[in-house]
This record gives sequence, structure tokens and C-alpha cells, in this order.
Amino acid sequence: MQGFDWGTFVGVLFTIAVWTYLYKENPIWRVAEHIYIGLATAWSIGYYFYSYVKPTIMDDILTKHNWLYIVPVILGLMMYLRYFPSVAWLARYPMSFWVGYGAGYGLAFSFAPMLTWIAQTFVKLNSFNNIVLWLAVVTGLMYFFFTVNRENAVVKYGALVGRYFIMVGLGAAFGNTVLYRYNLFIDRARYVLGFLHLIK
Amino acid sequence: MRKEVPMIITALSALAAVFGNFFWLGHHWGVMDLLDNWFNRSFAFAALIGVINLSIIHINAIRRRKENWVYSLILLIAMYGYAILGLIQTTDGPQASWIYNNVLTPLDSTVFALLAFYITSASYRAFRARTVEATVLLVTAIVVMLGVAPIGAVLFTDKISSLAQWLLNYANAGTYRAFSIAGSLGAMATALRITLGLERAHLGGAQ
Repeated sequence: MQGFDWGTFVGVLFTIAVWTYLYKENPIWRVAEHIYIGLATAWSIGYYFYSYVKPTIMDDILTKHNWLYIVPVILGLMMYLRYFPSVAWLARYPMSFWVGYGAGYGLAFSFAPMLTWIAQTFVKLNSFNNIVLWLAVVTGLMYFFFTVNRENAVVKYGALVGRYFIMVGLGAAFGNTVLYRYNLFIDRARYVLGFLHLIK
Repeated sequence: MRKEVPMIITALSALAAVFGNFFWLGHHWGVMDLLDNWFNRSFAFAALIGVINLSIIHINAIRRRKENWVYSLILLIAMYGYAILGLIQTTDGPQASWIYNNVLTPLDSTVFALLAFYITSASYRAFRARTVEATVLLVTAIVVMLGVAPIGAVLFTDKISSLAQWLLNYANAGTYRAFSIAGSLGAMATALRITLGLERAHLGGAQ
């Protein structure tokens, strides 16, 4: 068996194990599923440890004496207090930091791109393509006007046209998603068939 | 202490992020660099939460000999075995890399590829063109699929890919711009509610 590609062999076995789910839920699939969850969780532990935990403690705090980095260590460790009912409320502190910081990021970074998109919509309506683009933006936005009275004819019919444009957008997104998934499936099929020497 | 302090932390963190990004002084003082570091590193220190939760659920299943407890055992062996291996030799170590390349990656890609079949059965149900809107969605999806996939050009000449490209470049691009503008407004409104303490779901319900 010298030269036999054990790695690909194992990969093919797990690929077929997942495919068995297409027939119905079965023990082979469930073994693969549980191994997948276990490995994916474990991988993230190794990644976080070597990317953040070890450098923070060993390099930044113990070697460079950068004491500001004690704050994230304390914040992260506070999350484990949720397992102790009497002090579980303290786990809200790091959660508040994460949510607040994320919200601040949203406030800071949503505005500029939005202004760019609005500015890009001010196109000359001198061609069919530009009119379609402009109509899609304006009527698409009208569809999301929930605070304006829908009895107004402009909003009412604008939102109606917008609904059709939204269907076009969703249809295109759906078509692209289907193609992407089939692309992935073809890639897996090539992997298995290539290993079995059924294709080159 | 239990509700007020977290609300103050939320507001201050949000304001610090806005200050750090919008104002020159924020960049000058390196506010964002420091907070980005705190955010990523504190998250990393809390990463074991997932392992602890999975362990609690599956150890309980094994101890109580619940139905299919053997799968719980398999999950724990895979998780702790690979975590220990990864911590001993890093995730780039020879054995850890072998498992990553030959077990985790094929499993990951195949599970995602599996969705191709479910999306097909979902589309069968969704695409039964019962309304005008559903028909528009159906026609657009078919045109885009045939336009992008090579089989479309074989069956219908290059015109189908031109039509698909036009749909993507104008009708679809405009619609997505509307989505993005509406989404940004919604995101900013939600972020403002969180900053002002009007949205408190992240603080939980308990006292």
C-alpha cells in the first residue's frame, strides 16, 4: 500500500458518509455529523489560543508589561461567571461591551456607504438602463416605507412596482445561490470520482 | 449594578467606537486600535463557552444513557482529542493539519454542498408560479442560472447570458441598492436604540 493516499481516502469516506443523508437520516451520517461538530469546535479553540490568548498573556502582558491588555482578559473571563448563579449577572458586563462596541461600529460605518449608494442613484435618466436602475432603487425603497400612509397613490403604486423589482432581486439571488451550491457539489463529486480514478 | 452599569458600558463602548472612527483625535489617540484589540481578545478568552456548553449537554446525555448517547461520546472524543492535539502542536502541526485537511475540510464542504439538494426541493415548492410575483422570481432565477451556467449558452446561444448580465447589472443592482440603503437605516436605528439603552435584549431577562 506504499504511495496510497490515506488522507484523500479518509476525506472520500467522510464525503460519502455525509451524502448518505440524502437517502435518509442514518447512523453513518450521524457519526460524521458529530465528528464534524466536535472537530469544528476544537479547531476554534486552537485558533483562538494561538492567535489571541497566548500572545496576549505571554507577549503583551508578561514580556512587554502592556497592562492595558489585562482588560480583555478580565472581560473574557467574566463570561464564565454565567455558570455561577449568584454572580451570573456579572457576565452582562463583557456582553454589554461587545454589543455596545458592535452598535458603535454600525453607527460609524453604515453612514458613509449609505450616502455613496444614494449619491450613485443620482444618474442621468437618458437611457433605458439608467431609468431601470433608478426605478429599482426608488420604488424598492418605497416598498420599505412603513411609516408613510399607503393610501397615497405615489407610495401605493411605487411600492407595488418596488415589489416586482424586489422579486427580480430575490430571484437573481436565489439563482446565484443554487448555482453556488451545485458548484460545491460538483467539486465534491470530482474529489470522490478523481480518487476512484473514474475521471482525470 | 446589575442593569445600570451594563447599560452605561454599552453606551460608552458605542460612543467610543463612534468617537474613534469619526474624529481625528480618536485616530490620533489610537482609540480604535485599542478597542479593536480588546474586542477580539476578550472574545477569544470567552471562546471556551462553546466547549463547556457542548460538554454539559453531551456528558449529561452519556450519564443518563439517553437515546443515541454513543454519538455524544463520539463528539466529545473528537472535540477533546482534536483540541488537545491542536494545543500541543498548534493547529498547523503535522497531525492537526492532516485532520483539518482530510476530515474537517471535506466534511465542511460536503455539508454545504448538501444544501444544493435541499435548495432544489425548496425551489420546487416555491417556484410553483401561483402569483405574478412568484412568476417574476421564477423567471429571473431561471434566466440567471442559465445565463451564468455554461449549459445556458449551449441551449439558447449567448443571448441568455447577455440578458442575465443585464438583469444583474441594472434591475438586480438597483434593487440591492434599495435593500442596502434600507438595511443601513435599520442598522443605524437599531444601533442608536442600543446606545440609548432602549434595546436591552443583550442584558437578559433575569435580575
